[in-house]
Amino acid sequence: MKTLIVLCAGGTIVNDKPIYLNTHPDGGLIAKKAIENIYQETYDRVIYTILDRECYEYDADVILSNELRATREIEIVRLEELTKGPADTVYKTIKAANIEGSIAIRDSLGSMELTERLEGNFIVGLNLLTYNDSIQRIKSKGFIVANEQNIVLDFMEKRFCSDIISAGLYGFKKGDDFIESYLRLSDPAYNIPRVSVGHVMEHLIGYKDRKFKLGYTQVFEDWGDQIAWYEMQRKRATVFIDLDSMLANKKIDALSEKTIKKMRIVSQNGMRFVFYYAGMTQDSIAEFRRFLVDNDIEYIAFIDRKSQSKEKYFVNSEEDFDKITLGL
Amino acid sequence: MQITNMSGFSGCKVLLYDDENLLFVRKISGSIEYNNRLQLQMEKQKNFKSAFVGVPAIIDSGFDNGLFYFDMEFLQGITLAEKLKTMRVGDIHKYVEILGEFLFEQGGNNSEMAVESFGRKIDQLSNDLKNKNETVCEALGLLKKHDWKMLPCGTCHGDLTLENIIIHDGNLYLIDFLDSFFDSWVLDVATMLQDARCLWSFRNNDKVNNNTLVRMMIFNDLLLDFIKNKQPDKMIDIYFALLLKLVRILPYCNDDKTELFLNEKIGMVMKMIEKEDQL
Repeated sequence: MKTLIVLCAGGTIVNDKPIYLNTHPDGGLIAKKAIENIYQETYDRVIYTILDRECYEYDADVILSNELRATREIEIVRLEELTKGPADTVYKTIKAANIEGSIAIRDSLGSMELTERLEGNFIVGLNLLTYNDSIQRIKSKGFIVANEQNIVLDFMEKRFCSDIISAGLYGFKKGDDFIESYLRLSDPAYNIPRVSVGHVMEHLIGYKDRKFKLGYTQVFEDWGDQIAWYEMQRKRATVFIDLDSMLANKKIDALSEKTIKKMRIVSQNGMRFVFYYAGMTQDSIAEFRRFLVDNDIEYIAFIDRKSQSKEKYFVNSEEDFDKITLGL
Repeated sequence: MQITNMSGFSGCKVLLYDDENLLFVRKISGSIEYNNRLQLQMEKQKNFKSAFVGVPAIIDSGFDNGLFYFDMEFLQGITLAEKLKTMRVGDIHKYVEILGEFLFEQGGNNSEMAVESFGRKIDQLSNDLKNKNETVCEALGLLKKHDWKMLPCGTCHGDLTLENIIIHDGNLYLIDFLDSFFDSWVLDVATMLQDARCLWSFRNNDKVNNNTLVRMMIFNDLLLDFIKNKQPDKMIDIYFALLLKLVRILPYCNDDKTELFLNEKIGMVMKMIEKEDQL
């Protein structure tokens, strides 16, 4: 029996709700994105571990069940309170759901894309030397050392010892192995405040000589905390550009190389441009469109706002609308 | 010639001499009263033999202003204590096996001498410890009742902390030998457990790196497994030796934090003894 456990019990709140109940900029529920592209269909059971209170406050269990119904059947384990750490969450999940056989553990704090199925003891890593984007708070990541056969030799939390960081998916051939190591690591004499899944893997390698295979993902998106979440949102933001002001009656080629290059990169990484204008001619607009195409800058639309007023507003709610129209 | 002070905990001065052609370490007695003890330590180091671990070679010895000193080769390396913090978890077993083989190499036979030596030490402790709380009283009671004659009397390092084990060119070397009231490899194990199990070196740290804690635990568990596989009947003696080591520190304790720490660890070791007794 193979079980995939998805950890959603960390208690992180973003936009006034648990992070996993938020919507990714591409429209998918974060909790659902966590199991995309990791061969979830090869698991007999997929279990989401969430906090009980989030079921009462946010209907988390209902939302998860509804959203994932089309993908596959899932189970939900509800924990009464925050645990002592990720490994404790896994331990409680195993006990609550009577899990037997092998387990894989996925955190819900990022996305990845595997190119091969991984079984038994494994960890998925991201090679920083070949990854083309930035990583937030890299010091907080787990670092993996592996040999040429991609067998893990070492793992260190929050300490630079290699170019490969953990991407948040682990496999344990025997759930019993996990439990035994976790209970040992919970010895109060050592007072490890927050036992992670990585610590369990370290213990199994060092004490029981277990072999863990390193698998890779080159696709990785991190939304593990508020900073990473907002950074992810920022990368995919919709940007409204006032062409009249930006060009200020100058020709298009007055734009600096630096700005052009940056626009190209951010548009290719997900940022979306909406250009609006009022005083420009149609010929100028056409020229600017050609300029964007020639420079591989992606955009959504050009809008003639038919007013040269300097006042511009964003409205996200009825309250916002009331505010800007007060007295009108 | 450049002379650098090296840090040490023994009360002796330790200097690194850097001559053009030669690099050596000089250990100088802290007082005339300590001369004899340092000489015994030097003899222990000089006579040390092992197929598994090495020692820095003794180059010279003598007196300077009435204080005994001896010179030994300098080994460029890292202590096991420091190395364990970042050692690959897969490599820990290698060093445990070397140390384990070294410990059993010291051998020894059961001796009635142990009963006398330990008995004296425990009686002295009972007198020295003025404010004995319940935990300490219980510990002293256990120590008095234990049958020490099963302790093998052989050779040992005397102060085998993880700081006194150097890794040089991938091999292990022992430094800072100590003359002991009783020579037994069991006491060497107890000293290692004082660090690996009781985390004595970290007692003043508010926070210890989790990677270090995991590695200390693995080292501890592998070492105990090694011993259990070869001489399971010695486990109880090891735990009693560890208990005695901790209680022996109490009379020198001059702050509440350390006393609290020791009391906690003494309680922990007594539970380990109880568990071992039940097996």
